[in-house]
Order: sequence, then structure tokens, then C-alpha cells
Amino acid sequence: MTTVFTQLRRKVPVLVLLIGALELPFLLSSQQESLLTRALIFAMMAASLDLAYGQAGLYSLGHAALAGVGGYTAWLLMVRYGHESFWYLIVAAALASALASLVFALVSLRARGLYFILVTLALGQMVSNLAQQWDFLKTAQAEAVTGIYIPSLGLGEDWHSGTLYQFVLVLTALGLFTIQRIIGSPLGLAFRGSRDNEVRMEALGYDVWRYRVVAIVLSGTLSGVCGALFAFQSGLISPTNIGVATSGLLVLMAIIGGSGTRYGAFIGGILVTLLQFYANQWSMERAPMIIGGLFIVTALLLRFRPKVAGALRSLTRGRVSHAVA
Amino acid sequence: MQNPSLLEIKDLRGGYGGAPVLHGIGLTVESGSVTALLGRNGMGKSSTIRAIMGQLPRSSGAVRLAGRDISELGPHKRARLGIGLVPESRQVFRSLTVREHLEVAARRPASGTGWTTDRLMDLFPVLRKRSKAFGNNLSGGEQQLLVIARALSTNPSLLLLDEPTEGLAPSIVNEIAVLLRQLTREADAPAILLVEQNLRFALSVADRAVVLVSGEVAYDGSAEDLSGRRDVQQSLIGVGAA
Repeated sequence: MTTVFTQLRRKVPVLVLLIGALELPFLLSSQQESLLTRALIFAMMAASLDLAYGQAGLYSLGHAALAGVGGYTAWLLMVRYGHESFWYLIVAAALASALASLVFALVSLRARGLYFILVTLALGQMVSNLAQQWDFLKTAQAEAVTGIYIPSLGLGEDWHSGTLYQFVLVLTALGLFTIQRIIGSPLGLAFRGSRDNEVRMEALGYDVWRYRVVAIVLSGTLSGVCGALFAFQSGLISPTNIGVATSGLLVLMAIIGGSGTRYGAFIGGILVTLLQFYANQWSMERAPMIIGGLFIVTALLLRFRPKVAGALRSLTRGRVSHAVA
Repeated sequence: MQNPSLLEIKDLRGGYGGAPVLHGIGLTVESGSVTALLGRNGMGKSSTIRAIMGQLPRSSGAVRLAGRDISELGPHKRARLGIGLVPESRQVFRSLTVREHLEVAARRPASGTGWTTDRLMDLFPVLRKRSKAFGNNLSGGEQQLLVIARALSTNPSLLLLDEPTEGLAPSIVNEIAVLLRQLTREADAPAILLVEQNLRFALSVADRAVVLVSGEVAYDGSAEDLSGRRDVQQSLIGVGAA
């Protein structure tokens, strides 16, 4: 009984937050609604990255390309082939990203450590170059592909910045819930075990390679949904959107918020998106300096994080470990 | 026809790159027995354990588990067939809690309920007390107990222990000895192959002793016999003079 009660109680703040966030359009301008929608999409993308990055320890610098496959798939099916159902497009985007991430996994998992990172970087760059070079993925003379809009849910909905925000919020909540379920499941345990010590996991009977493929594909599939949402909201998607700069930004989001923690990457995603927007508004020229500076400061502070986390943990537990030996 | 031994190693050779460390090991371990694998440093004890687990490249020879040739299988497949490993220098998962260590390793046995998380925590009460602590927040002794429990959680038929007393205080070593003897009295206890530097500890838990010298078996007899053979202890292991 008590456990059910505590579980419910733990969900109350989340529910209050969600309902509060759903009501936000009453207070915001449509520009702010669009900004928040964008922040939610990127936060979700960062959270999907962190499933592989933080949980399974697979440091990828090509995640934006996987999201890009979803975005471009949605664009292709909508603009070139005239599909207009949201559900059709979102499922197609997720499947395309799943397939692309499977290829990513099969290629990149042949390498380890730093080489793994470099391979993901190269793969991501290849996808972004493909989008840049292939005429099939271009409209008119511009690099960005345009003509995509928010498709119909088939429920007689009326799309404007407020309703889109609410819809994306609900989708994001579902996505986060899914990620939490994965993290809390035996699969999540296997991801973290493989990250901590691959050889041990093998000796416990785990085919670590297979679990890593699963981590990358799950992470990529979720990011495909985010990529499609990004294209729907923006009305366009371009090779630079899905290049290494965006991948790096996603990593920054995850790390700033706390990679490998439950909500860290998501919160980091919201913060960095907002910061980037307001920095751009303040000065287009200085914004890259601000984000770059943030990157450097984060990297430097990261050295101290284990200590901070450890100190917090012992504070919250209120006691030091009893030594046996 | 006689039942095959649980573990049978035949003329096993192997090593890292061009440097062979095992020069034709032959060894059997019977179900329910505790075998100590002894010898000086660098004689191939840990390499033998690694070869059984599939973590050491093999050049020739065979490893059989319950009559089945497992020489070609990778570590995870061997683990699934019933080999549990307590590795050298422990190696806990730093970001998993004690309970998660047991859950991530858990595998149901072929029959019966086997070693469940609850049963393991009964056998190792300190793990119940520390069930929410992270691996790297445990003391050395707690880590060692956790790693033994983690290996048992896979319900192995053969448990490989690679220097479980390394770097632990004498009182903890005694605790582990008591625990292992308690474990062997359980009805579904796995067979144990124990690599040790600590001769007194090894002979107090083992019923059979095998001594390796330069990657070959130099002595194979009962632990009781070896206890009385000061000459063998001194010449092959380099202890026992005291």
C-alpha cells in the first residue's frame, strides 16, 4: 500500500508541471510559444541522444544526422509524394531513422573509444553532405528544403503556435516517459552495466555488442520523431541543421543537464535552446562565442562533477559508508 | 559409461599475441568439488581462468563443460552455459547499486528456484544492508562479497574465483573462507575452481589442489595431502617453510 502511495506521490509534481506547462499558452505570445516548442523538440532530441550517450556510454557525434533522416523522410513523403497524415509521416520518419541508426550502429561499433566517436562524426557528416549534394533532396536553388507544414492529425484540429506547443508537449511527455521506462527496465540496467564494464557484462552472459546496437537504434528512432517534428514546425530543413554543429550542440545539452541522469539531458536541452535564442537576439555575432564559451566552461567543470555528485549524494543520504575492510 | 566431468581441460595452450602462457594444461573439476589452483606469480593461474571463460586466445587444446566442447564459444555464451566468474581485482559496476548488480546478473537455473536476489542477501547479510549503495561506494571487502554474489546470481554450475582474497584484511579473508565453506554445504552449490596466492586460505576451503609451474600442471592431489607436503609447498609454491 505504502509503495503505491509513494509512487503516486512522486508522480504528483510531474503531473502538476505537465498541466501547468499545458496551460502556458494563456500567458505567452505566439513567438514565445514557438520558441518553447522548439526547445521541447531539441530537449527531446538531447534526451534521445542520452539514451545511447549517457546510459550506454556510446559517445556519438552524429546524432543530429539520425534526427535529420527523420526530418528529410517526412519532407520527402509530404512534399514529393503528397502524404498529409501526421501519423503516417511520423511513423515513416521513425522507421527511416531506425534503419539509418542500425546502419550507423553496424559500422561505428566496429570501432571503440575515440575511434567510435570519429566514425560517428564521419557518418553524420556523410548524411549531411548527402542532403547537400543530392538534387533529389533539394528544392529550387536553395540548400534548405521547404514546403513542409504541420500535417493533419485527422481530428479536425486547428494548428497555430499554441496548439502545436501543446501537442508537442504531450508527445514530449510520452517520449520522456518511454525513455524513463527503458532506463528503469532490465534493458537500461544492461546498458549501464555495458558502459561501466564491458568485459564483466560478457562474463555475466551478455552479448554486449547486441545491447549496444539496441541502444543506438532506440536512440535513433526517437530522434527521428524529433527530426520530423522539427521539420513540421520550421517549415524547412537544411543540411546545416543536421550537421556536426547540431550534433555537438546536442552533446552540450546532455552534458550541461547531466548526462546519464534521468532528466538531465532534457533539462539541458531546454536551457541551451533558450540560451541560444536569447543570445542570438542580443547579438547575432556574439551568440556563437557565448555557446562556444559555455562548451569550454562545461568541459572544464566536468572534471569536478564526480566530486560534486558524490558530495551531494552523501549529503542527501546523511551518512558515510560503513567500511568493512 | 561414466558421466563426464563438469569441467575438463585437455592439453590447453594459449596466450597473448606471440607470448604463450599456457603450455598444455590438463585439468578436471567434478560437480560439487572445490579445487584450488595454486602456484607462484606468473605461472598461468589467472590465464587458465581466463581461458576457461574464453577471455584468453587459445592456440590448441580443448575446454569441455559437462561433456560439451566450449572451446570456440565467446565469453557470454560460456556464461550462459553455466560458468560464473569472480574476476581478479573484483571489478564492480561503479554506477549500479548492490541490488542492481544482482538483478543484472540474474539468470534462472535449469531447475528449482536457484540463487535469487533474496536468497543471496540472506547468505550475505551485509549486501542487504547496503542494497542501495553504488558499487564504487563499497569497501574492498563488501565489493568482494558483492562480486561473489553477482556470479552466483547467474546460477552457475561452475564458479571461477580469481584471487578473491587479494588486498583484503585478514579478518575479511576469514569471513570469505567461512562464507565459501557455508556455500559448499548448500544443496545446489556450484563446483568451485579457486585461484589463490594465499595457501592457508585456499587449503582451508578446497578439497583438491592443483599446482601450476610455468603453464603446466606440476602437482595434482587432495588438499589434505598438500597440507602435509611441506616439500612440495616449498619447491612449487615457495611457501610453507614457516
